[in-house]
Amino acid sequence: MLLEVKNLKKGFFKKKVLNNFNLQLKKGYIYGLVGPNGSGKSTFMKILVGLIQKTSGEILFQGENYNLKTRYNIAYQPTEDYFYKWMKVIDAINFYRDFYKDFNKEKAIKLIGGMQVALEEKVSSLSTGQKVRLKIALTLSRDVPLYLLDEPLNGVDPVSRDKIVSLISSELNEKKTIIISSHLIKEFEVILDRVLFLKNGEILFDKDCEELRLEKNMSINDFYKTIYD
Amino acid sequence: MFNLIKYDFKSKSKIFLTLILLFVIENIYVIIKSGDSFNVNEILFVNMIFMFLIFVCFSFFLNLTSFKNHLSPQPGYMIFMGNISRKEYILTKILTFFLESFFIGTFIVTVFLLEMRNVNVDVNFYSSFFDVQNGDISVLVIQGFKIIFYLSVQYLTLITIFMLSIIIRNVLLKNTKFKGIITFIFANVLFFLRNYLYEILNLSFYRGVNFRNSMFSNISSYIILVDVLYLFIIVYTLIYLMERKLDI
Repeated sequence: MLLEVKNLKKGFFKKKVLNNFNLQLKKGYIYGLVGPNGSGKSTFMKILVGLIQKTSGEILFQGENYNLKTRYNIAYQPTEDYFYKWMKVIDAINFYRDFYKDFNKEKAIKLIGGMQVALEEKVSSLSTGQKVRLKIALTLSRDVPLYLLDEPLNGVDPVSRDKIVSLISSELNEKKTIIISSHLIKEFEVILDRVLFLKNGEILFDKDCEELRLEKNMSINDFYKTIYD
Repeated sequence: MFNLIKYDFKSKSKIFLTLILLFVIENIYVIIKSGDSFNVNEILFVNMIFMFLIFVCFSFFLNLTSFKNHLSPQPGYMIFMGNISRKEYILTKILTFFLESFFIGTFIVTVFLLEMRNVNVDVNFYSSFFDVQNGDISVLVIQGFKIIFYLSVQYLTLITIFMLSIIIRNVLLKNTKFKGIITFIFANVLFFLRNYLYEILNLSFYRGVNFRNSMFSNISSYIILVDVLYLFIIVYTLIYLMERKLDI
C-alpha cells in the first residue's frame, strides 16, 4: 500500500471541509479525485504536502507515519500561481533543482521545450495554459512515488487540455502513482485507472473505472453528472 | 538553509542594491563636503537618516513584506511544499535578519568612523561617543561591535514581534474584520511589554538609572541576555504556531 488515510478531518473554524476521510492508494495506479468545487479535493492534497494542517486523523505513507521525510516523496502541482514574481522559466527550473534532490533538470527542459515556452521568458507573462504546462512539467520531472495534480485543466483552452493530458499520459509507468483532482472528468477519463468520488469532505466511493463503466453502462463523465446533479 | 537565503536575497536584491548605491553616493558627497563645510553633527545627522532609511525600508519593511508573502500561496507553496521544515524556515529567517542587520550596522559605523577621521576628530570624540574612558583603539572596536550586536538583537526582537503578530493574524483572525489594525495593536502590546520588562529589570539592577537615557553606556551582558531570552520566547511561539497551526 502506498498511502493510507484514516479518519482524516479538517475544519476551518466552524466549517468542516474533510470529515472522516478514508482512503487507500496502491502503487502504479492513476486515480481521479472528482467532486464539485468545495468538496475537499484541494484541501486533501494540501494536507498531504504539509501546506495545511490536519485537525485529526492518521496518514501512513509506505507504512510509515507521515513526516517531513515521507512528505518529500510527494510531488504536488497546486492550482494557484506559486512562483516568485521575478522568476523566469529557467529560474523556476533552477529553484526545483536547488530544493529537490530528485529533480531532473534535463527532463524538465525537454518537457518545457516541447511546449514552445522560452526558458528566458518571465513566468508572469505566460498564458494560463503555458503556466499549467510548466507546473506539470516541473512536478513530473521529480522522481517520486506519488504525484498530486490539482485541477490541472483549470482555465485551460481545449487545445491545451489535450496537450496536458498527453503530457501526463506520456509520463506514466508502473512505479508512479498519480492522483488527478478535477471536476472536468471527461478529458481525463481515458487515462484513469480508478476514480474516487468526493462529496462534502467524504469519499462516496472508490471504483475501478472499467468496472464502473460496465456496471452502470455509461461513461464516468455521465455517471459523475448523475451523482452531483 | 543556504538555498532559502539565496532565494530570499534574490527576491529583494534590486531594492538592496539601490539602497547601497544611494548610501555610497551620500557618503561620497559627505566625504567631499567634510573637508569643506560639513561638521561632525551634520555628518552624524545625514548618516542617521540613511541608517534609518536602510533599516526601515530594506531590513524591516521589506523583510516583513517578504515574510507575509511567504505565508500566502505565491510564493509560499514553492517554499513550504518541499523538504524545508517550518522550523528550519524560521531559524533561517532569524539568522538572515541578524546577519543583515549586523552587516549593515558594521558597514554604517565603519563608514561613519572613516568620515570622522576625514574631519580630523581626535580619539577623545570616539571615546565619548562610545562611552569608554580609554581611547585605545582596541577598546573602541570592541565597544563598537558590542553596540552593533546589541542593536542587531534589538532589531531582531522587533521584527520577530511583528512576525509573530502576522502569524497570529493568519491563524486566528483570518475571517475577522479590522484584522490589520488588531495585528498592529498586538505587535505594539508585545513591544510595550518588552520595554516594560526592561524598565523593571533595569530599575532593579541599576538602581534607578533610566534605561533610555543610558542606552549605550549600560550595554551589559545582562541586558543582552534579557533581550536574547525575550527573543527565544517569541521565536519558540513562532515555530510552534507555524508548525502546528498555520495553513499556508
